[in-house]
Amino acid sequence: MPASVVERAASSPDILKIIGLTTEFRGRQTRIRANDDIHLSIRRGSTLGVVGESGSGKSVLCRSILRLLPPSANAYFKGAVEYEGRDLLGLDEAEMRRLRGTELRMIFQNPMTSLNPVWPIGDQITEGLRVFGGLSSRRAHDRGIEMLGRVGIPSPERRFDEYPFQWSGGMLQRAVIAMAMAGSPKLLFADEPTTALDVTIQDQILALLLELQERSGMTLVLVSHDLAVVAETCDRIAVMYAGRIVETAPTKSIFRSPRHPYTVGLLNSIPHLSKGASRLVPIPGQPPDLASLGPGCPFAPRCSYASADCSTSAIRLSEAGPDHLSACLHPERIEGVAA
Amino acid sequence: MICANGNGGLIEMENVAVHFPVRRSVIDSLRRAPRQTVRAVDGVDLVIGERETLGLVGESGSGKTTLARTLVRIYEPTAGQIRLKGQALAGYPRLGDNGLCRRIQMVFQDPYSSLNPRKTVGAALGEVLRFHRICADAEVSAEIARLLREVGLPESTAGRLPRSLSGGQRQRVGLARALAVRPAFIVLDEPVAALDVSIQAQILNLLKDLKEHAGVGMLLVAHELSVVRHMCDRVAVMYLGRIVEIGGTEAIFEAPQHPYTQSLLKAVPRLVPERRHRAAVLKGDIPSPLNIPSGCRFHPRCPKAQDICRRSEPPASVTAAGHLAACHFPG
Repeated sequence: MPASVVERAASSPDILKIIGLTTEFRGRQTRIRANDDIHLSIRRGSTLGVVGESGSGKSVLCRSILRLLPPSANAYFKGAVEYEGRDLLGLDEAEMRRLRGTELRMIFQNPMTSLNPVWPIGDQITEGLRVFGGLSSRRAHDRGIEMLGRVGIPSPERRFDEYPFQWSGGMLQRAVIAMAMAGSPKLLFADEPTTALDVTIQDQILALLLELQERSGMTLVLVSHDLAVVAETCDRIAVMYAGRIVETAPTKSIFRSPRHPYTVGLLNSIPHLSKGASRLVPIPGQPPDLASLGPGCPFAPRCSYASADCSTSAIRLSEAGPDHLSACLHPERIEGVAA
Repeated sequence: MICANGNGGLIEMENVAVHFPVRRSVIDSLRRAPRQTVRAVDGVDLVIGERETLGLVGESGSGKTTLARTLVRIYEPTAGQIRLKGQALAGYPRLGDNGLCRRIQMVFQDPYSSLNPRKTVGAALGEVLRFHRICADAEVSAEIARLLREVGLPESTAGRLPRSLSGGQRQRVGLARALAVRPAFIVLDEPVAALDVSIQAQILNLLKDLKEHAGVGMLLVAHELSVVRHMCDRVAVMYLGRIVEIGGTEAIFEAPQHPYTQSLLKAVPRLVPERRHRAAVLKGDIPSPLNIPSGCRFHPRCPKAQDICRRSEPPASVTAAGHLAACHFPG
């Protein structure tokens, strides 16, 4: 690659540019578009929240970008994922592995699934440093202890050689974060990092992630089903539904003036901590089956603003306000969130 | 901790404890290591009134699920008394017309594992109705239809298998099954935790309707505080096997008296689009119920802890009418 391309990429405000990414799982008879024509740019150093319900495609999006889908999923990709001027979808597996071990990291909901139960935690944290960072065992060991201390594990020297079963869920999530941070990543994907944890521990982990981000300047993509979690952590939010991004905007705009009926529906359907017993307004019906989507808006059957044209005409993300994109044919009909 | 609700107790718990012995390994028993006990529930006094919904909150490991399960006698209390309408639970037969199964029902968290995958919804409900002789055989199908309507499902659901239902629909079937025996009390253990937000709202509205119309008392165990605020008349906060604070929902959420309740509430993310710039409210994890701290159980994590907190366990004291907190320095 010519040097100028890399330089231009490095000075661009976006660290990652997703252009028309489509991920399709092909079975014998079925074709499921888990991600459909995703366009998204992620600014360097920012925090992006990806929200949506189960099956909306938010985890598949992270896994498609990092190419972490198992071969058994039989995934076919279209589009491009540009990272620092290179298309991740076109990289060979060895290079992708190196990136995943250093610059592009991911942490998962359940820390036990990313840790080997019969291997000391410390060694797992330093593995990447030894394999990709070229550090000697001794230096990796020192750095591992430093990382454990940084994520708030008390007496890390003593706990370095302990096994996952000896630690609580919150401590294991800290260990996984230490593992991800050890390689000084530029972009960290956190897929529901606090969903399995108690609110008090969630509070600790969110504080830790934000503190580490502020100190290192890395970009953070936080995937969550919990709107309150992204509200208080993210600069921008992308709302996903049925494999598509239906709305993306700065966090404040999403919460104060949502421009997609699904976002409005989500905001109306959650009980508030600060409000008493008003009645919730649920979204009627069920999320659609991805294997049998029509040509129009996938939300149309559940949408109170929909008209006949919604289920027939193809819908793209388009300007619905300053720096605000919405995939709705009739954003002007939206009344907003019930007070 | 005593009843705050004026109209008498449907459920009364008196000093209830549920302890589980930990099996010793061969080596430990040869070494004569002391036997260890998990004190999951460790002295709970609680009264739940007729038609009242009580919320039970706390971190995992606080004993809230154990307490809920003890109410349906999945576990037997190690000590203490539980009474339903004044009669000791242990005195109830399990089955039969006045049996416990008829009086107290439970709805579980995971609607995927709490229904028999080979039975249609109608067969599952019909079995309950026939077994408990809720209605004459000829009326069973009409009763199934009525139950399904009550939980907001079309009557045709009776012919379907659980696998063809969504999570929200299954949870409705779980509720219909609990309601089928016309219980006096329903224990709901995290009834919406496994559901997506948009479906969660449907189930919460349904529960609210049932609460108003079915006239049953409920215990709602939930870790999601906003759900508890939405649903409950009173709230009890549990920590390491004890109730540390109990009071009316408004009082608990607006003027919590126990530092643990205050921390729990502060830790919940708000729906306010403003990047947080604060440190975590509580440090560390909940201690193991194998090894409960001396004095006040919360003192190692408490921002207000003093010497006395390490030495003596605070009794529950009334901080306002119907509001109790077990803290040396409430408020």
